[in-house]
Amino acid sequence: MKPIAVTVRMYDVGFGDCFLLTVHYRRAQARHVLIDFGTTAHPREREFELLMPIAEDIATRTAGKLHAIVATHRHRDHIGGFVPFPARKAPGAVIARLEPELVVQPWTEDPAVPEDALSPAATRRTAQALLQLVDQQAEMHPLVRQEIMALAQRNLPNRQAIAQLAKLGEARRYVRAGQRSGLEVVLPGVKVAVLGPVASRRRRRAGKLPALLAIPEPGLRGTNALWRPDQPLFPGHAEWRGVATLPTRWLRNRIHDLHAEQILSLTRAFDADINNTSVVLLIEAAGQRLLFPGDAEEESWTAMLGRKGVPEKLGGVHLYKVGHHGSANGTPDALWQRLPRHGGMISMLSTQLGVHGQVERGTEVPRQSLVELLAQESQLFDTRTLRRCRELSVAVELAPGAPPRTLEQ
Amino acid sequence: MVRERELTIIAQDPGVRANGRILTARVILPWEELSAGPRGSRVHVVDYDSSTHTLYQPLPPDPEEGDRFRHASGPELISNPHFHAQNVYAIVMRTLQRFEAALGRRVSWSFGGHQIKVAPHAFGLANALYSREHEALLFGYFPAARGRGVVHTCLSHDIVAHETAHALLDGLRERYRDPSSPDQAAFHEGFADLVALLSVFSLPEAMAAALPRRAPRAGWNLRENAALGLARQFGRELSGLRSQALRRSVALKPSRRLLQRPEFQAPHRRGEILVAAMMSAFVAVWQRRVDALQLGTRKQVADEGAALAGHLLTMAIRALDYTPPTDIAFGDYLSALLTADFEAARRDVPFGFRAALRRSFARFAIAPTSAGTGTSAAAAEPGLWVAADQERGTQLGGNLDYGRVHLEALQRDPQEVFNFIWDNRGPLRLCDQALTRVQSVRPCVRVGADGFVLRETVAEYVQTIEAEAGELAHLSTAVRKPEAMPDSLPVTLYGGGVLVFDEFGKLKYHIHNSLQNGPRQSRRLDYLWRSGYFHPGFQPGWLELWRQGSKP
Repeated sequence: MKPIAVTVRMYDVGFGDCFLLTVHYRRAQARHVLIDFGTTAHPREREFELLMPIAEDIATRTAGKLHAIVATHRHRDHIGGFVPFPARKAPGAVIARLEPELVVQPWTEDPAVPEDALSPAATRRTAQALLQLVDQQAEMHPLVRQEIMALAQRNLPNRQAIAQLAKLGEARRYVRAGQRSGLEVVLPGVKVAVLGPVASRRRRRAGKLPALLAIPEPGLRGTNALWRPDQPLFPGHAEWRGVATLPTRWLRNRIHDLHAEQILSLTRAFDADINNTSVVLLIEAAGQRLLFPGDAEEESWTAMLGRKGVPEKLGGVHLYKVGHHGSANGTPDALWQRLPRHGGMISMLSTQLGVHGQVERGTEVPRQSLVELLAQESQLFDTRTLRRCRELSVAVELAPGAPPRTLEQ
Repeated sequence: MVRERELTIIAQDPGVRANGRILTARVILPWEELSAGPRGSRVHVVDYDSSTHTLYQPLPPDPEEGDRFRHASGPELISNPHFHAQNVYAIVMRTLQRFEAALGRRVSWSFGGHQIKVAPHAFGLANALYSREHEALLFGYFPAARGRGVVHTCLSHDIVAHETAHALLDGLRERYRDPSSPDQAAFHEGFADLVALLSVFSLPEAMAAALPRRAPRAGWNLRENAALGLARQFGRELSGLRSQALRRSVALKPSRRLLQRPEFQAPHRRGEILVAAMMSAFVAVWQRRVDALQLGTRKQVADEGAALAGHLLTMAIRALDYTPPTDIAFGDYLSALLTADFEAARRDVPFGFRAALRRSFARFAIAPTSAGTGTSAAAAEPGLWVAADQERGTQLGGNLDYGRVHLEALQRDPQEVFNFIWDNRGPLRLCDQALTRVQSVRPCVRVGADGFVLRETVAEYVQTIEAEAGELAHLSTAVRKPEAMPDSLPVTLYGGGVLVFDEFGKLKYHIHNSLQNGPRQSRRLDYLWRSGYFHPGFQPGWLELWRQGSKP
């Protein structure tokens, strides 16, 4: 079976990702792969409200059969939608009924991998400790607080979603760079290269984060008489708590600012570590190359681009799912320099401004200057446009010898 | 008579013990009237902990009996925040004093204020940092591995000295934090590590603790017996986090390929090469002295090592006055080291540090920037910057115009120095299209080769050009932009120099990175372009950001 065309449909999930990849065949039914299904909308009811019509739309378009799911990484805005209960109302239950044959996840989610710094339990401890740290810092600037909390909450493992993914599919693949994804089996005639995640020092570095954040090792708090994060180190020498006197006020306020910045930079690092576990796929179907990088960030790209043959392949990409919702780190310069320019590529950006980062610090997601660059140099599709037009999704159909065709909702 | 103050500090870190006790040392500082804190004319210790919102009582002014911790036990030192305040005050002041003595003048903080604020328990984070914007050195604390209490970064001598060195270097060369080249990015870290290592090594107590109790039968092999032993001691308390850098630096085996290896393009790793080259020279000189003087006992060997470490530290600091103010490369620093020492002692005796440094740097493929082709025999020593009156071809010294210069003003007034630069922009080969600013004018006192006191003046100027990338080819500098760089992209070029005037106001050295050096500017732009510096939202990798402030 040889594919004749491929369609990529991007759904507006707010801040999150949901892409439906459809491979068309001349003499066989189309096959469908769902790449991520999550949002960061709050509360849960609002999330259901947002994702349910999308789940139903996916069910309709796939005629009740999903061939595979790719859950790029553990963040809620990528897998939160898979939670299957309550059974009637949950979008995850609708997806489960599509009976995917294969579920692809990063190797870090493999239950057989021993617990390490990136395991759900370890990241939960770190995320909870971060929230606790923020809680103790009343002086923290509200914007910094908001960003740390958003990042920490994003990193609280979605236990229900993870459990559901472990049940879905007749087959499950936990992949890393260079391995076969298993998608070739369910998508005949399609080549899939797993570019990432590259198994790396990520695990060791992530392991240091709790120590850098001064988070006590689990189980030691009771036995460590000296360490009480919420109590003065030297109670007998404390002059006062909470109130600043004049000679020290100048520095006191600045220490608080700097402390908050340090926590924020480590929180971002922690978040990036999970992002960098993203499954990165380069899919070739019907003569088209599609790049789905999940939320892989700069360090992951550095590792991927260092692998033999990878930089060359990127020159021929026809469609690029913009990495990490348009953050500057998600499309690092090293990657951008290798992608086709001058309108030779379609880019699809699923994002929402105001959730992560700050414009005044140049950390906003999506990074405005990157969006401008994408708009200039590629044919850009942005979920924010869908939102303004009250559209649920947009799709692009790619076929050999024909210009890309935009399919509206 | 100059009054002094003697204070107890922890010699290395609390994990280093001698006879089961925490190894301490006593340091001598100039006397000053301290307020509670301690709070002196240059350092203000504020013991505020932002994690627990606690201000600790400041250390009261000196008691009648002097050093109140002289006889304190180890547990008392660890558990008393007053000692922590004293420890940071003493190490910061000692480092500052080292800089001032080496440079022969007062050294300013970069932020313009007089007192740097030091917080020994700033937050519960495994980090310590210098912040120019906050005018402060902040030290964190964190739980020790396996529940063994709390680790205080303020009690590690190397961490305190390292952060202080960052602050002092920033005051002397503010443009060294600019993105420029792999070497410049690495220099801040490498130099701060160097100061930290030599500061600890210059304490005989720390040296002695690292040596075997008895002289080895086969004689002292200092690389094995001492340097590596000392290095191993770094960071015992710090869960092996940042201290690995110091250990690695000392143990790094020389290779001419290291600078090209991908892992040594990262600033913190590249800095290790600079440290390794210096420490290798240190060990070589120490070994030669121990052999030549036939030193046998541990005390003798330790005392000699500490004295040599102090000497090399002075050389390392003094060299800063002979480095170009922008875009430093390791080769520039080597030329500066050699020239500064040559100015202090014409003959490379008795230690032979200059020859050892040349050999050691060469083993890491670091060549001095200057070929040292002065016209006189005295200046023909390889690697030295060429003095103004000895430059071949240009005869810079002879072509200079001093008509408008007044000696008194030249020694302290930036405008007067600018007048000199303006009148001599031709012979000094400055870029006429650039903006020029004199950054500092610093009178300093040195002891000359004949033992007499010299009053020299060191002035720094910086030149900048702001242009669009497309314009670069049309500049007199003929800079080549990276091929893919858009023509409309705004870029800034830097150049600058140090002018060393002798006691008569005559130019002695002009050490500069010319803005008109097209190949260097092209290399810099290429490096920044490849590093993604011009990419939207460029930020150094988190680890780099963290390491800029990170000790553990």
